[in-house]
Amino acid sequence: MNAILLLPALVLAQTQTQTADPALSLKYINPLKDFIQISDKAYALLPPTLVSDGRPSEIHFSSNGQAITFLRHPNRPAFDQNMMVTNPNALDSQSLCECSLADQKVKDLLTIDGRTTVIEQIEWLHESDAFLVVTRNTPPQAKEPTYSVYRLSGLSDPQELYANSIHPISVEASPSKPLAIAITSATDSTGKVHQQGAVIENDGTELVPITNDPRGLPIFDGDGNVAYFEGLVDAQTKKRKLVLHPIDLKTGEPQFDKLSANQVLGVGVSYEQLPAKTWQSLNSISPLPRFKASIRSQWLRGAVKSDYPVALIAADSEDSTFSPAMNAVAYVTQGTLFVREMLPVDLTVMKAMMDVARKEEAMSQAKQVGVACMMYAADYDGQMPPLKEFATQIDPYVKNPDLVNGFTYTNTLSSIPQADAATTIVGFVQTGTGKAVVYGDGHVAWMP
Amino acid sequence: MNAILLLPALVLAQTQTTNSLHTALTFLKVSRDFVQLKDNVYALLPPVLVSEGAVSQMQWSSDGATLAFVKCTNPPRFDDNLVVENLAAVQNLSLCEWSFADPHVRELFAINGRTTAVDGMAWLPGSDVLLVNTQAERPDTKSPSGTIYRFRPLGDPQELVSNSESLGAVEVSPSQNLAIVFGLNSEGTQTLSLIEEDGTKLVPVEPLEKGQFSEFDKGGWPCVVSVLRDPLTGKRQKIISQRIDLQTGVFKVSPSTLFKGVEEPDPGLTLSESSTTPTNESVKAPSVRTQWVNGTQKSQFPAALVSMDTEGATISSKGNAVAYSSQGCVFVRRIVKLDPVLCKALVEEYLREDAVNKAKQVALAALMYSDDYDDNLPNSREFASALLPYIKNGDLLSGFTFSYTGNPNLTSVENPATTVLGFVQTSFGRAVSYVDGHVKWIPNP
Repeated sequence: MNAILLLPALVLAQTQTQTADPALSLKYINPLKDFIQISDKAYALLPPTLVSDGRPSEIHFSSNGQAITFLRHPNRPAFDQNMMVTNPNALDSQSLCECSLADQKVKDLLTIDGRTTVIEQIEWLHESDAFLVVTRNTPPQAKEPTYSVYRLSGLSDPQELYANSIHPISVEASPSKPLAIAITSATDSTGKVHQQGAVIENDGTELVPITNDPRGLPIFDGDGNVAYFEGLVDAQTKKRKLVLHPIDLKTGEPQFDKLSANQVLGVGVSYEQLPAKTWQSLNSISPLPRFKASIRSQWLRGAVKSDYPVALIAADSEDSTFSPAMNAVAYVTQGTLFVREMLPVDLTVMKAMMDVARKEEAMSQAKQVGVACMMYAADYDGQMPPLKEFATQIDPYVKNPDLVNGFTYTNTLSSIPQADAATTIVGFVQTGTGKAVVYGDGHVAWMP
Repeated sequence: MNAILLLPALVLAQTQTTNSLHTALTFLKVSRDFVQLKDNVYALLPPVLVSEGAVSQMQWSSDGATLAFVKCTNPPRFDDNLVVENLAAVQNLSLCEWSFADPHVRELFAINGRTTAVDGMAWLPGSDVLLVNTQAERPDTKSPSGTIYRFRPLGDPQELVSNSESLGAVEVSPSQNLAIVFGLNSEGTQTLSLIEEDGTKLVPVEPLEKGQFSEFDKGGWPCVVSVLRDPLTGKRQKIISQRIDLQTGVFKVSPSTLFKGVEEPDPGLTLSESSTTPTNESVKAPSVRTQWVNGTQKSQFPAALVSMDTEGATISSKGNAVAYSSQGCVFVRRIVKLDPVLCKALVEEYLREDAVNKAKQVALAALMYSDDYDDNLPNSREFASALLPYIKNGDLLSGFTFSYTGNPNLTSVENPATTVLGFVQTSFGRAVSYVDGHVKWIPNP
């Protein structure tokens, strides 16, 4: 039913010109919670958009922050009258999903039986729409688990790079090139187990096994290329040093006669190096002195000290992650995955919005305490609350007792004469830029 | 693309059975989702997302099955200065309805947010009729004018009052299917009219005298009340009550239902709000608003946490559902009464897991301590302070009783798997940690 024509207001020509109203933004952004300063730049965490329900876990952003992968339960729990879950089997099935931030559509890529299969690792290739998934399978009749590696890219079918290997596999993506190394073990002809590396290229659907050499292991150099490292002892200083050799990506042969152009070790996509990171705080909150609930909150914190070092991603959230491209954060709250985009803004804009928000907060607080005073006076035949016991006397009249904190009650008159009500000051709320003053008739004015 | 066939694990027959009690506990947290009212314990079920888009004006129908609310139809977009770019789009509001039976958002009514504001919404008790009053600016006089709409499911909205300059609030009876509309006439005195459930018209009420106002009586019927001062005590009293005739709008004295003040209803589950700073670290952290459902103050579960960081919440009049908005999204949680037997089982399961977990962590800390101190256990008197550096959360030590009195050197313990280190006691059993680090649950005999 669309009743759009019935409302007279809509019949009005929509000709009014719209001037951008900064105050409207305050409706969507809470400057006191949603801003963070990272070195000399401010970021705003924009309102969240829903990505998926179904208790998502294993959340990973792609390296450009434009896509996100996660695991979810495709089926909702159903409860019977006694709060028992009636479909426990349905909850065991999980699906691996991808969502692009641009179109906000969740695609189910892979269905997983949670009772036998565990996703060990999800790793995005750098600047690529492909990612690698390591799974561990333990069928009920099997004693030992087997490991598989899949490469998933967009809507094409998943490619099995390793199938049911009995050796554990770990993959590591290059920090700056669209390729990855897989490290596993292999049993040679003599029955000895040794470590075995392989290179996975972005467009490659095959593995290039790296020829094993007892001298070292495959690793990334500072340029993000695959290299082979060798530990040498310097003949003169007797100190150990690392030497990186290039690897021929066609044959997988380490070239021990050459040296890599960059001799610094490259680290994988390291969240430690980003200018900000997420952290969680566990805290007890309580509405009553005897009662406590334990809650996890997710925060974003800049690595460098600043005036506004933290922003609240979500109170009451079990998990959060941060895009390496610094364009978004993702968090799970009460079983639902949300993404908040980050928008870089000017520091002065941030500070101006914070001042406006503090003023609005003070005005609203003053207004509510003012109304409470009027209600008190109405119940006590015009008597104002006494200065001494203001907080306890006014408590039954305010919805949230915390509102009284920060309010300075200055009224000393027992009752305010009708004639002077609009000019008599009852009290005020102070902020950095001014104060919100409550008058005897309940109205509130801003004094810069 | 469905890659279901690629994974061998799915080919397995789904024959395993799952412990249902345990599954229930993964969705319910006894420590925060339970609330006790008198002798009953209620659980708040996991939240269901209803809608995104800066939701306001949430109203439960009286049976707590349907939620009405107003939302922005388009999410805001921001420019570099954080000013909303798509102002016209975010001001297109929509009146929506959602119900547990059919969990989809149904848009009932489009509202132009630039000219029209939704002043109030209310469901008539025990019916599916929703009353909405809006305030708009008249195009000719620029003065505000109010309109009242009456919605029935799947029917077109009816305008009960349209573009009235003197429209005030609409108040719904607590138990009868009717409402009072307050207004002002040209002389500035209050006027009243009635809306009945099946009525599509207003019934004007005869003018009130000075000092009179209208209220609903105990039975939920509209009546006229005067406040008079008792000449002897000087106290104010509501003393006269006259029921308003629903057909004609005239007052009629009805002594049998003489109004003697509003009887306080049984205290049901109520909502409360607190401000919380959700961290204990010393950073400049903002505070958020937290909503609770309160039951009986002095009970095992005096309050349940609805949500932190909310903009508002509303509980249905029957207390069977709560809706809240957080970061612009609206969620609902059903509230169910728990079977006492099941509730006891869930609480015991929770306390048992909690105690076993605690005992495990303390035992592990004791082993870590002994690793650092040449296989020696701490002295039982300094036990708590000695283990503090080895434990993540110091509270864990408070409920643990260290009972080991033997030789502090672990290498001298002959049978570490049967030697008790200490225990966590609960009302129906204890979680016992052994010197080798394992933990066993021993129920009360």
